[in-house]
Parts: sequence; structure tokens; C-alpha cells
Amino acid sequence: MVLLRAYFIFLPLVLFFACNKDTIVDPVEQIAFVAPTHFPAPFYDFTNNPVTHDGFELGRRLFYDVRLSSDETVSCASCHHQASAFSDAGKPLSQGVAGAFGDRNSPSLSNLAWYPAFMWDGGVNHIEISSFAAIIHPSEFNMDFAALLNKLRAIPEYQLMFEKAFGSPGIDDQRFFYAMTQFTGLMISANSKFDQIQQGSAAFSTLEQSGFELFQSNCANCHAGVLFTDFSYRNNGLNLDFIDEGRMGITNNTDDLGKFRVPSLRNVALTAPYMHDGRFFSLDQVLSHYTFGIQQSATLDTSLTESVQLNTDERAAIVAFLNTLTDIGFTSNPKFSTPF
Amino acid sequence: MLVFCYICIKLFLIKYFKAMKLTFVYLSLMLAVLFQSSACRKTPTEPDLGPPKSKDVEIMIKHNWADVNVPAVLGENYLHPQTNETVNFQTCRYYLSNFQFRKTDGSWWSHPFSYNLISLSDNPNYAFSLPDLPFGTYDAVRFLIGVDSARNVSGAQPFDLAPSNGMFWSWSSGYIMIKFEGSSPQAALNSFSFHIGGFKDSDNTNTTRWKEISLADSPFIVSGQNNPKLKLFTDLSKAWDDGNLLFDVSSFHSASTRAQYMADRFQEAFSLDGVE
Repeated sequence: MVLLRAYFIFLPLVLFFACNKDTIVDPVEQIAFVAPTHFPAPFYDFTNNPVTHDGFELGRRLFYDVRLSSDETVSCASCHHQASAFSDAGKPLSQGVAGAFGDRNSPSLSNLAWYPAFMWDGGVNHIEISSFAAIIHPSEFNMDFAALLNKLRAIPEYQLMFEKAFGSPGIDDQRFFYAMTQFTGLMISANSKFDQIQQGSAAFSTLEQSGFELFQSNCANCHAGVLFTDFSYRNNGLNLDFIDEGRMGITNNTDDLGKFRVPSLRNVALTAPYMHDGRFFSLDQVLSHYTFGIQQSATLDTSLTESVQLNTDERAAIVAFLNTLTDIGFTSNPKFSTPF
Repeated sequence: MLVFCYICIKLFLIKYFKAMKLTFVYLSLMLAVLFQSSACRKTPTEPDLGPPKSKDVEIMIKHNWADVNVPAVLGENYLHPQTNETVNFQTCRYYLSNFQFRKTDGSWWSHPFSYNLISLSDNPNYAFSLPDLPFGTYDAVRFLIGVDSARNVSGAQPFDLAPSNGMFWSWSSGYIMIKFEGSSPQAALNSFSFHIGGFKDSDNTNTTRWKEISLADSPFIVSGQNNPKLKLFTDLSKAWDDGNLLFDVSSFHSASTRAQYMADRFQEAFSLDGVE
């Protein structure tokens, strides 16, 4: 009987220890993609690219690493500052290696897992490859991508990080882009005052409420839903002649001349300057454009052929509402800050 | 160690659970552990599938210019017999994908993942392996010249489809299906650069083309006894047929009617050399 009892005690013990080897629990903070409950279904599916702490941390390091550029002067964060909701902190045009200027304003980055396409003209069709264009563009990182992978392969720190993130040694295209996506795809801004109001834990001021109502009737046609964009491409009357042909450069369709993606307005108070060419430095300038500045061209959006009439008070009210889209928890979250 | 464990546990149990029925404790422990061990069950070992029923086959491509006896390589001048344009390749790369083989019962077997980037070098021959073709006799092969639309819209791809191969447009996502670069006295600035891409049927920019080649006269047999090889000719001059491309334009780098035109011509470049 004693032997039998001993067996019953040992068996669980032995099984317990044998099993524990296979189920090592990650002791570090769990990182996961969690879609906010008041958001629509995300566009990107992490099933093939499961998020891990190590994958996220690798993506974060890559995002902030100037070694990704040819002269080691710029990283993704050079044009996408966290404090400005990952936009370009006052620069109208992106600036790459050797001070070279790009053609367009660096957009704010947040909620990218909901984006069906990337860049002002929607030319990039998938979040995983959204960093590729910046890396190889001569006016941005100016890196040959194969050369970049070779460079990373020679850095012991990255050898280790890639192995930890993906379970075996090796640095390749897919792993690079998967890691970047684990970081950028988790940059979710969903806790602004507006979001708290959506969830019933805060309330608009009187001014914000009137701005919200004006916004709903004048702007939400394009800046739709909780992401504040319908992801369409539109000509919002900035120009009569088009130095930058916009969406037409992707589709070759003359109907798309001068059209650009409707940008999300999340954290918009932090993301000046505005428009694809960064021409407006304040939200009031932007709103004034829709009242006073619309240029009538062939591809002008039909919703703007009659300008949006907003007086000074109404513009101020809309700006007050737009300020409720600022998510300080996002712009100050240490998870998204530099690891260097 | 185990004895020590046993003693510790025993003392522990006696001290704290004396009042309880020990059997209950044992049962709980057993249940908890059984539950956990089923949660961490190891992946089963590969089942024994018996003798192999498939094997890797080799596809061998011989590049030539206008005549199967004129091998095509990088860095040589080739005169086009129709247009009198001279072409000297610095780069010649293209994708062949989605290989399918027709069985003698008329049904097609499709390779699950066959994306191959073919590169011309100073050797006119290029060979690659297609894994796991089922044993059988095949009387036709077909493949896609280029990369199907699904792979163009699905993010970061591995192997021959990796963007670091320089065959993926960064600014307007999609594969360069065929890339011809080189020099020619007929081209502006004596150089040409044709990047043929575009994958959408919706806006008529699809540059992928299916090519089917009959193997009826020389059936392709894959069995345990042989090392099957399918040998194809690629006549690069075909891409220049029916037009003076270099007189007309010496470069294009986006989906366009010219890309369509050249993709149509290149479809005619492939023919059967033989099987082994």
C-alpha cells in the first residue's frame, strides 16, 4: 500500500516536471494584438505572423535603428516621431539621407492594421511591405534591400534578436517585414477623449459637442467612422495644376489626377503640417481652405464643388472637437518609444 | 532526489491534509497533471508513409536567340532577325510559377507552391528543381509566366519572391514579372530597361501569361527508377518580335500597354527541348 501511494505521488511529479520543459511561460510582458471593441474588424490578420514579445521588440529596434539607412543618419523614427503621433513634427516634406527631401509629407502612423493600402497614393497594398519603399528610396533610406539584409546578418545583436523572435537563426526578407509589422501593427491609438466618450466614460464640452456636430455634417462624409477616413482617394481642391499627380501615378487613370488618400484624423492636432505636401501649418488653415480655398479642377471631389461654409466660431468649434482625438497615452506609451 | 521529493511531499501531505481523504488529494493531483500533460502533448512523429510516391524533378531552361543553336548569355550582341535591333543583355530575369502537369486521364496536377525566378547569366542554361511531383506519366505541362495576383497582394513573401531579389516594385506594389536591361545602339542613350509588371485583370494591366506545352510526343515519366528532367527552350528574341521596341521606346517601369505587348510576345518564347 505504501508503494502504491508512493507511485501515485511520484507519477504526477514526474509528469509535471517532464511537461514543464515543453511549456516555458514567457516571463516578460505579454504583447498581443487586441482590437479595440469600438473599432471595426481589422484589415490585417496576424494569423500568419503571430505577435510575440521578441518579434515586437525586434520590430521596435528596427524602427528606431539608423543603421537601416545608407549613411546611418535616418531611421523610420526620423520622420515618424512618437510625440507627434508618428508624424514628421513640423516638416512639410520627409527628409532622408544626406538631407535629401522626399516628395510628400510623412503621414502619422497609427491603427495601421486597419489600413487596406498605404502611402498618400495608396501605391503600397500591404502593411508588411509598407516600410520597403522608404528603405530603398534614394531620398529616404537609400538602401539596397539585399545589402541591408546582409548588413543586419553581420550584426550579432540582430542575429540573436531574429533567432529569439522566430525560433531559429536567420535573417531574411519575410522575417524583417514580419517583425516590422508586429511593431507598427500594434501601434493602436484608441484611447483619446473621443474614444472615452464612445465608451461612455467621458463627455464632450459644449464647444466640442458643437464642433462634433459640425464635423458630422461637413467632414465625416470622407473622414468617416472611428478611424476618421473612408480610405478613398479624393481631390480636395488644393491645386489647379498638379505637380504631383497623386493616385493617377498608381492607376494611370486620368480620373485620379490630383487625388490623395483621405487621411485619418486621429491625433490630428499633433500631426501638422497638413496635406500631402505639408502646405498648411494649422488646423484653422485647413478648415479655412475648405471654406475659401477650393480650386475647381476636373477631378475635384463632388462633395467640394460647393465649398464648405464655416465661420470663425464654427472652425474653432471643429478644432476643439479635433483636439479630442489626441491620445496622449499613445504618444507617450513607453512600449512604442526608442529602445536605444 | 526523487526519494527526497517523495519524503517532502509525504510530510507536506501528512501535515496539511491529514484531515482530508488522501485518496482525494492523489486523484486531484493526477487529474491536474493528466490535464496538463494532454495540453503539452508532443507533436507526433512522422507517420511511416511507406515507399515514396513522388520525387523532385528538374526543369532545365536553355536560353537562345532566334535559333536554338544560338545560345543566349549576358554581355553578347544579338541581332534581331525582324527588326534589325541589336540587343545586349545586362539583366534578363523572369518568373515562372504555378507549374501544372496533365496526367494521361486528362486531369491536371498543380504544384502547391512553385515560384521560380529565372536569371540569365554567362551560362545560357538555368536549372531549378520542382519538389514532389507524384509518380506518373504526363502529356502536357503548363505554367504561368510571372507571379499570380494573389502573391502580389499578400505582403512579405519568401524565397524567390522575396523583395530583396529586386523584382518587386516598392512604390506601386507588385512583382516585376520580366526584367530586361542592357544596351543597344538603337536605344536612346544606348541603353534599354524594360520592367514588365502588372497583375490586375480589373484595369487590364495583367502581364502574367499562361503557357502550355504539349508533351504528347515525348511523355514525361516520373517514377522511382529515373531522374526526370523537363527541358525547355526560351528564345529571348521572341520578346522583340513584331515591332521596333527600341526605336520606339527604350524603357518602361510600370504597368502599361507596352508591358502587355512585350508579355504577349514573350509568351511565344517557350518551347519543348525534350524530356529525360
